[in-house]
Amino acid sequence: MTTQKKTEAPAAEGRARVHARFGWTLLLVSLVFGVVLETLEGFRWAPLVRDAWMQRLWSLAHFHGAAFGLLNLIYVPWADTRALSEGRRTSASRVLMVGSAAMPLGFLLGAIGHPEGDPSFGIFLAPVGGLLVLYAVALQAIAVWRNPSA
Amino acid sequence: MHRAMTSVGARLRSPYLAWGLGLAVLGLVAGAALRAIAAEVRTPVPLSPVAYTGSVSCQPCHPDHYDTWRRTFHRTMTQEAGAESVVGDFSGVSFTYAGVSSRFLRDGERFVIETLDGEGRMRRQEVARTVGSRRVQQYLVREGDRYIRLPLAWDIEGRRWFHLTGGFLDPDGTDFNAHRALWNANCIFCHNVKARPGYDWEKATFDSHVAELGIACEACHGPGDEHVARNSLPLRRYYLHYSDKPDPSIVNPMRLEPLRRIQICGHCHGQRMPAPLDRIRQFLSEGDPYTAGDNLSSYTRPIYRESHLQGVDVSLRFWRDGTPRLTAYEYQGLLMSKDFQRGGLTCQHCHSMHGGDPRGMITQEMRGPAACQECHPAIVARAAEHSRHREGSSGTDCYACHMPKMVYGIMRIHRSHLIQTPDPSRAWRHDMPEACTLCHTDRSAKWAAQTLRKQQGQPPPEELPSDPAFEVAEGVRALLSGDVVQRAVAATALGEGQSATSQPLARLWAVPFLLQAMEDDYSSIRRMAWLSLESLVARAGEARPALTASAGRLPRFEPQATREERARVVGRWREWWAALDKGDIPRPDPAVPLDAALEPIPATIEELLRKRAAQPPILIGE
Repeated sequence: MTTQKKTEAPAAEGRARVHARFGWTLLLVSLVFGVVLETLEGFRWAPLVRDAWMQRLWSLAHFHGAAFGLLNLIYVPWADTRALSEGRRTSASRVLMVGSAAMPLGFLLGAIGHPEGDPSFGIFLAPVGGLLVLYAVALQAIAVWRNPSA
Repeated sequence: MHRAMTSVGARLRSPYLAWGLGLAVLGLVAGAALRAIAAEVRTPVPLSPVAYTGSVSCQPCHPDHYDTWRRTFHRTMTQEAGAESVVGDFSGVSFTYAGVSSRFLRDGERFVIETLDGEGRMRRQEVARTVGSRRVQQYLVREGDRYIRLPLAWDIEGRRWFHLTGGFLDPDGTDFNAHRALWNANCIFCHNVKARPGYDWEKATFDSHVAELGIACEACHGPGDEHVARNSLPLRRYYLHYSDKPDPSIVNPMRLEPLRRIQICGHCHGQRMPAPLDRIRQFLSEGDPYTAGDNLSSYTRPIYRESHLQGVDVSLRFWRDGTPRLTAYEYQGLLMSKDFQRGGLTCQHCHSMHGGDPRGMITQEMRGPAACQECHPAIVARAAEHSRHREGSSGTDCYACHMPKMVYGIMRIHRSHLIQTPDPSRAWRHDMPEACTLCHTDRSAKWAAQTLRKQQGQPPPEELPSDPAFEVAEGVRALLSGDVVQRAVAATALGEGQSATSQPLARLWAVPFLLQAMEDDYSSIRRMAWLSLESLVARAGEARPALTASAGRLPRFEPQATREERARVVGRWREWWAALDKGDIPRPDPAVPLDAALEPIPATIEELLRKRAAQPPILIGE
C-alpha cells in the first residue's frame, strides 16, 4: 500500500508538471503564431490575404492552440483526480495532450498547399484532435460528477 | 477456460486494442467508400439533361476561379439595367444622328432613352438591360414579350454616344433603325448562358429564358447541378483533389482534346449556322442544343467564305483567300491554321478566363514570344535571323508577321487568328492586307514582295502586278481605294504604335491621307482615321511639343456629326497641316504620293479614289 502511494504520488506530480510545461509551451507557441499572423495581416502579406482558407484555418490554429494551452493548464490540478483509476488518468492525460496538439496542427497543415475550396489533407488531424480532447474532457467531467471533492 | 476468457476480456478492455479496432473499422468503411467513389467517378455523366445552377453555386468551392472570372468582361456581357451596370451618360445629354436628336435621361432609378421607336415615332423608352461593358455598351428596351436592342450605343473608351452604323460597317444614309434588333432571336445566344428564346412558331411570341445573364461559369464548364450535388460529399472531393481524376459531372476544358476544347470558345467566337439549316426552328424555340464538352459540329457548321446563307453575302466577312476579316470568326481562323491542324494549338494556349488582363483575356507574357516558345523554341531563340529584322525591333514580334492586325470588330482592328506565313503577293492576288506593309506603311506591296524574296536569297517574284496602284505605298492605296474593311485596316495601321518607323515625326506624312479618310462615307472609317491622326500627333508631340500644342487648339472631330460640321473640322486640320513647319519631318519612301510640301499628289489620289468609287457599297451587319 505504502509502495503504491509512493509510486502514484511521483506519477501524479510528473503528470501535472508535464501538463504545466505542455500548456505553457502550447500557449506561448500559439500566441507567438497569433502575433505573427496579425503582423502578416497588418502588412497585407499577399499569400495570406488573398487566400481565405489560409486566413481562416490559421486563425483557427492560433485560437485552438491558445485555448488548448489554457485547457492543459486548467487540467494541472485535476491530473491526479482520485475519481479515475490510474489507467484512466494516464489515458486522459495522454489523450488530452495529443488532441491539444493535433487539432491546431490540423488547422495549420490544412492551410498549406490546399486545393481550391477545401483544406489540404492535414485537416483530418483537426477532427481527430477534437475527438481526443472531447474524450479527455468527458472523462474529467464524469470524474467530477462522481466525486467532486476528489 | 475461465482464465482464457478473463484474458480475452482484459485484452478487449485494453484501450490500444479498442482504438486499433475502431481505426480498422473506420479504415474499412473509408476504403469501401473510396472504391464506390472511384467507380462513380469512372462513369460518364450525360450533361445535356442536367440543370444549370448559376455562378453563385460555384463560388463557395471555387473562390479563386469565381473571383478571376468575375473581373472579366464576359461576366458583364449582359446585365439588368441599374446604377451598377449602366456606364453611358444619362445626364440629359442629347445626340443627333441623321437628323434625329435622341436624349439620354434618368427618371429616378430608371434609365430612359428618348429616340425613335420601331414605328419611327419619337418616344421615351426605358432601358431594361445592357449588353457589353468594355468597348461599347448597347441598351435593350422591353416591348411586350421581347427585348429590343436600340441603334444608339455608348462608346466606353471614347466616352460618347454614337449610332451603331459607326460600330458595324454601314455607309452614311443607312436607315436609322437598321440596327434596331430583336435580342430574343440574336444576341441572346452568345451573350448569356444556355439561352432558350422560347419562340412559339404558331403564336409568334417569345418566352425567353437564360440560365444566367452574361457569360458565366456554366457556359464553358457545362451545367453544374449534378456537380454541386455529388461534391457535397467531402470524401469525393478529396478523392478528386488527390487522385487527379477528372470529375465526370463537370467539364474542364483543359482536359478535353484540342477540337472539343476550342469548340467551347468557338461556340461564340466562331459564327456558325445550324446544321441542317432548318434546325433554326429548334434553336429559336428550345434553344441552342450545344452544351460545353459536346461536339459542336453535331449541331452547327462554322460559316466560311464559301458558305451559303439565304439573303446574306457571307463572303464579305472574309478576305478573298478565305481568311476571316471580322471578329467572332476566331474559331474558323484557328481551324484553318496549321498550328491547330498539326500541332493541336488551342485558344487556351494563349488565352485564359482566369488569368492575365481581362482585356483580351491574355497574360502579359503571352502577348510576347512566350506564346510561340513552347512549340517553336528554336525559331523564337533566333527570331532576328528568322524574321530578317533587327534584334528587338517590332519586326521580330511573332504576332506582327504571323497574326497581323487585319480583322474588324467593335470599332477596332484586331489580330487575325489564322496563323499564316507573310506573303506580300496576297495584296494583289486577294486584294487584302498583308503583314509587311502593315508595319512598313510607306512601302508598296510590290516592294515588300521583292525585298522578301531578296532576303530569302531567291530570284525576284515573277508574278508582280501590272496595276500601277501597287507601286503606291500599300497603306495609302488600301486607305483610298480599298473596300471598307481594307480602309479600316489601313486607317488603323497608319496610326498604330507598332511600326517599322520608330521615329514619331517620320510617321506624320500620313496626316494628309488620314484627313482624306476623314471624309469617307463610312463613319467607322472616319473615326479610325481620326483616332490614328490623334495618335500620330500625340506621339510626334513627344519629339516636338509645340506641334501638339498647336494641334490642341484645333476642334475635335466627331465622325457622326453632320457633313458640314465634319468638313469644317477637316478644313481646319488641313489648314494646320499646310501651315506646319515640316522642315524636321523626314520624307517617307517615294512610294508615298506626296509633293515637296508633303501634300498629296492630286492625280494619284483621284486615281485611287476612282478605283474605290467603282466598287459597290458594302454593308456588313451582324
